[in-house]
Amino acid sequence: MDARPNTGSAPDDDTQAVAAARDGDTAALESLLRRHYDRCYAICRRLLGDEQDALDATQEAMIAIARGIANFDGRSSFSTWTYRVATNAALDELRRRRRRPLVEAPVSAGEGLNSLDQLPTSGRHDEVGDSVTARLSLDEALKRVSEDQRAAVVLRDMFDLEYAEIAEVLRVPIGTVRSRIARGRLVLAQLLEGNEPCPPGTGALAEAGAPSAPGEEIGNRDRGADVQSRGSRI
Amino acid sequence: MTDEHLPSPPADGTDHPGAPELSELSELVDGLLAPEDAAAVNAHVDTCPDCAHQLTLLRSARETLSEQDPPMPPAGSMDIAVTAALASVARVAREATRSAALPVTDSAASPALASPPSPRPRGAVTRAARRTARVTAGADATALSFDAGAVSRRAARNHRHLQFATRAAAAVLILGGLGGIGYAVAHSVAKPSNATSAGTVPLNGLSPQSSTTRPLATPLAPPAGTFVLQLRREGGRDSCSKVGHHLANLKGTLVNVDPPATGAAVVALPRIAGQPATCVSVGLAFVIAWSGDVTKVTMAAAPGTASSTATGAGAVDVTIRLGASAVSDMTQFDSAVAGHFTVAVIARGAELGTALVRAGPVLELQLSKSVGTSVVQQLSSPPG
Repeated sequence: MDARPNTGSAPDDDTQAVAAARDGDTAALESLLRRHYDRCYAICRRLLGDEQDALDATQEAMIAIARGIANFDGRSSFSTWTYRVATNAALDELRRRRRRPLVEAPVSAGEGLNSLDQLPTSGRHDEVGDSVTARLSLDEALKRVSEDQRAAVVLRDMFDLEYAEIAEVLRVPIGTVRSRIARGRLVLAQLLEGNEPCPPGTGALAEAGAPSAPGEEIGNRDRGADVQSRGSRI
Repeated sequence: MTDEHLPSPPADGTDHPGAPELSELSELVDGLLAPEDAAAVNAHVDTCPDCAHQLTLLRSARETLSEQDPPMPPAGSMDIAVTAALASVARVAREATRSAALPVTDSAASPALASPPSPRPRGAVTRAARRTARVTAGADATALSFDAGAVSRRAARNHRHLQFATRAAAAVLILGGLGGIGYAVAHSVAKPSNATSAGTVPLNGLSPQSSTTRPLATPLAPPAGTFVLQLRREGGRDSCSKVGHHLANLKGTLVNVDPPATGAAVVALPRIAGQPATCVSVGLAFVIAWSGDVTKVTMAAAPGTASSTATGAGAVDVTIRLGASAVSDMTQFDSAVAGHFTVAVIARGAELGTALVRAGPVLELQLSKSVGTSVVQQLSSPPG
């Protein structure tokens, strides 16, 4: 199974289209937007864990790309730039979502799971026959990984970005990327196995923050650890 | 996995000599370690159950994620997003053109422009607007900035007023344009868009003098064709968002337009079986993406409570505020409850008009305008 979203185009294709779009060629701009839409959506969807939020963020990303392409300086690849825009849009959406008041409501059948307790105790992909269940579990587990770590892990493991590209997308040092990927993977794996990540002071995750209540993100306070990105020993 | 299997080495590694860093194990999974480093880490892992387990966890996370199919967007969403994005660019270009073409007028000559927009504290600037502004700083600056050195302070002030007026009128255009274009569709009238004409705002049948909202008329036979009414919701993981999932990106049918009189359009949204239309009202935030323009309307949670509003595409901020007689419990705003609810449409502190929403077998949203006449007239006048 090819896990990679269709990145759509070779860099050369983008280069020509970007140049045309910057010159005001609407057709070229539209072509670029369509070429990168699926991937931007996939990023937003994985980072947000919610289809509608992802659609919102993706649309914001499309708008940002369309309006910002005139300022795209070409120092990074267009693809990397769109990753950055989409990631920022998703993170913005996450921040906005945190500010919204929650309204209690009945959860209809088939909706996403709300807490770790509802995760399948054996949510590993190779142990779950129902792919839908597995997907929900992954979404819910990802939501509990801190935003910073989630973004790094998703960009690396689902979109195959190099560490340096992730550093560029997230605008953090590459050592921070290493740290976030490692911690994010560990937290995610533990969650997928139905375990709470280890409590503070007992291991490498201690620096990633105190354990969260079900539904809360884990490891949001890892910025201090990021600075000493290679300082966590197991 | 039991707790004793959880990784629990100390962070300082003092009683775990020779242990690799967590990030080194992670890089080993990625195959990024130099051969000699990889050999050293593997040698340690072979003799250390804790590290071996950590490595297994890291590898399993990597494999789990990498084997996922990329989530695919719903059909039709790309068209909406791309349309909105292109419209956003076009709007910036139009604003730039208008800014360049419209004469700077004396505020006294235009009562609507005489009063500056309601002050918006810095904190009130929406995140969406900030995001758009950040990403598109260059384009927006080009479109909206002016040479302060070339104009007087008074002219500069008027320019700012003009920008507000332009945006306010754009909201009217977006809301009212729905009716106008629908009118054209309903009557098979091919009217070329004049939206790009410098200094001219297409009224699309809006009646500047009309300032009343009347009850919805009996729907006419739907005209041929459909348009996209994209509903977006605010609220995160609440009931609204859950229901909203099912209401997003619906294709609505224009069932009644009467733009010459009211500039109103009635939109019938197909209901989803088993899903109340509550979400359309609770935390209401919907984007009308049609004919290239985008705006977002947010409904307050209680009467008289202005809600924060974000806009798509950096469009005009529009808030719908419940009228005094409107329901306070938004959950009543269910399509199962028949009734009419009138709300006021507020844009940047100025009331643009009223919207009347009728809940019934289908949810109908009527947007009629009682707009600031002078604003529309000012902007619809050819540049002098």
